[in-house]
Amino acid sequence: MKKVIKIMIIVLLMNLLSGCWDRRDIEATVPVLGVGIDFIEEEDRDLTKSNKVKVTIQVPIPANMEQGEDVVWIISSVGETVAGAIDNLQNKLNQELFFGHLQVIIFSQDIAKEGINKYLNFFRNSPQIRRLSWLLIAEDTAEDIIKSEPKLESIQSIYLTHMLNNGVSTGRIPDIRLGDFFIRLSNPGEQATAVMLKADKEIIDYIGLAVFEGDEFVGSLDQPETLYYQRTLGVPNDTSNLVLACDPTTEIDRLTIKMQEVSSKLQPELKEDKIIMKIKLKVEAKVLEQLNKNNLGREDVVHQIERRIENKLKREIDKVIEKTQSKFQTDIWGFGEYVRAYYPEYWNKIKWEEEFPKIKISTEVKAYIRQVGMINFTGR
Amino acid sequence: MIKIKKEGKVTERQFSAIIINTILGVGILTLPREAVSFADNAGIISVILASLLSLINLLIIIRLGLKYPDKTIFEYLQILLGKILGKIISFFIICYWFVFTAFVIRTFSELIVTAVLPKTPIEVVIIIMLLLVAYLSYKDIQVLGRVNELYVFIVIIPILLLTILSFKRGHMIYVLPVFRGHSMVNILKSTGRSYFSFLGFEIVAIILPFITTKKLSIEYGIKGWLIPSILSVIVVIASISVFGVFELKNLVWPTFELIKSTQFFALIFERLEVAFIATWVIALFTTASNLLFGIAMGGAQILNLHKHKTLVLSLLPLLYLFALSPRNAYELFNLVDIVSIVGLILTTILPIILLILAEIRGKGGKAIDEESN
Repeated sequence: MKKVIKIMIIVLLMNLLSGCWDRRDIEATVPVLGVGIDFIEEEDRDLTKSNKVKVTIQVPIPANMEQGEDVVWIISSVGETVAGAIDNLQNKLNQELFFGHLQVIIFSQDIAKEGINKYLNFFRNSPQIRRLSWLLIAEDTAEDIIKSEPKLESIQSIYLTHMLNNGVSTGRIPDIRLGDFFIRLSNPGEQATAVMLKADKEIIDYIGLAVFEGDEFVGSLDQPETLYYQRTLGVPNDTSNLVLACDPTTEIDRLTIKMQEVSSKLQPELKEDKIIMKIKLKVEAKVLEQLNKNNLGREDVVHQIERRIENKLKREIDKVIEKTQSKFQTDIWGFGEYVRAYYPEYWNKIKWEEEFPKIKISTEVKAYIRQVGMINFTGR
Repeated sequence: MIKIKKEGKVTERQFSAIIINTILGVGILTLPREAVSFADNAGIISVILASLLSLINLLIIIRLGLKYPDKTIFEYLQILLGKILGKIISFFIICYWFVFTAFVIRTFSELIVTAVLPKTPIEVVIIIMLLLVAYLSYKDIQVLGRVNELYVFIVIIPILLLTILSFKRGHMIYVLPVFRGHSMVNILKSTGRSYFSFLGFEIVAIILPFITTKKLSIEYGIKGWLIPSILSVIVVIASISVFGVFELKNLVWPTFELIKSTQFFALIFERLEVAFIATWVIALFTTASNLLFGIAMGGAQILNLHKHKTLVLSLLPLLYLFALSPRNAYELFNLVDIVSIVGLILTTILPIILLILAEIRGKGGKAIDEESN
């Protein structure tokens, strides 16, 4: 009798423990790699305010992987909400959509202008989506980027992530992912930014940084401006170089400089109820190219070059800061967070959005040339 | 020399492990949000205050227990307060543990269902967890001790490692200002909320009579308290530095999100959260079994039953119903807040009163002590 009961228990347990509700074979899922979100092109969209969105997704076709062509399938669907549009997409597919491998989420500039938060809610709420995915803003339509055909990689989203990751590791592209975007949306002392892209058939181009006020897109910094933005925040640079123009006062012609080590210190100071933001930047540079034969072994020449780097950086950084203060009036630098950290009592009294355009910012740049190359002009 | 372990005893190390495993449960999964809920950046102070409060309470309970070295709290309650009142208070403690256990299981099941297994019915997760918990609680105390000792590192190391890795994406500027610009009231409110994640140490009131060397119980009690406290503080600092205070308030499962946004060795180890959940099942399992053991033990003692085993299985259906009673996660969190307030009052006030009573009795009537020995 006992044996029978035991066997019965085992049989029952086999039923219970073998299955799993959430078991899903890899063949039975459609992994989405990229999502693009646009407004649909309606003539009188502003009049009707229907705000229908068009969601374009990119899924790989495993069967074509070996031939290496037509590896991705791009389909799109329209809905009143993002989740609604994705639901409509599901109707067109044989298997279930899976967002766990989502790499890029692209919004068109139009959507971003209207406030991105309501369209992001779906991505925020879903446990499948990782905060390390990229949130991108397309200058034109998101669909264009998803449909572009880069040559080196057959899947656009993978190409894009590689491009972005390399950009981040070399310091060209700011490391602002979905999670960072959410954080910047929530923080009162800084404003959101996102990487901006433009696509043209075969080429996907990184064109700069989208600037937000709250969750509304207000403008963008172009690529060189973003470069200085990055340096101000202390991100070192590996690839982009700084070209110093010809300087008539000294005999030094054009120079190309690489900023290898950048360290920045942001320190707010409160004087008579006014914030002065002090930016101290220390740059270690390397001379890559010079058009005339300066002897870099001479100390005064090196010093001159260092002064020129300092002046150039300071001028450019001030320009970018001025642009954010007067044109956009949004604190994409996160200065507010520093003020909140160092002067919490003052912070509690003010409204940072009103205060930011008025604050004084002083930049101080110190440049050191560490490497001068392999040529030594001592002959003449 | 081989240390001979007596039947029905736990060693000091096991004692520490039981404290650690009982404290580390679901509390730490929501702790960063609770810590900053009122106090913003001073949440770190709140957590430290909460952990210090729990240390004081822990020491008082151990002191009290050492006065009656071979009795559990349910036995000396009857000595101190008299049979009827003692039983009423004992019943109250058991009820609190019972609801606590049920909600701990529910909270974790809720996380599993929202994050990892969206299609699995929550009932199934709860039932499986309950059966596992009951299986351990059904065993004797030394088995409980050994299991805790075995699992303590499996619980601590992954979360510690993952949290430290997550600092990579942190901004230290988000952590400031810790000391200035916060009102004391808000810090204390957050302390009250954070205290939930330190609850569970009161299990020592049950374990103390079984410990082999009673002299060392305070030392090992502090050790058992120290590890979860340090872990909690690290988790809170990491969460604030990665998310910032304001984003943290939006996250339902902050510690889980923290691990979710951690990625190391470039792209090889993605999706660490699933591995984390798998190890955290153990943390939860030990918490719930230790508490269920306490409940069964206490129940047996107030009902004058011989073995605690009688109650374990009969309590399961009730636990299941209690675990299922909140409608959704929000209701659950509100109820958990209430339970944590009850826990705060119970673990702070009751031990002090009992200790004072014991001191008075100890001076006046030693006879009782001898008699009961």
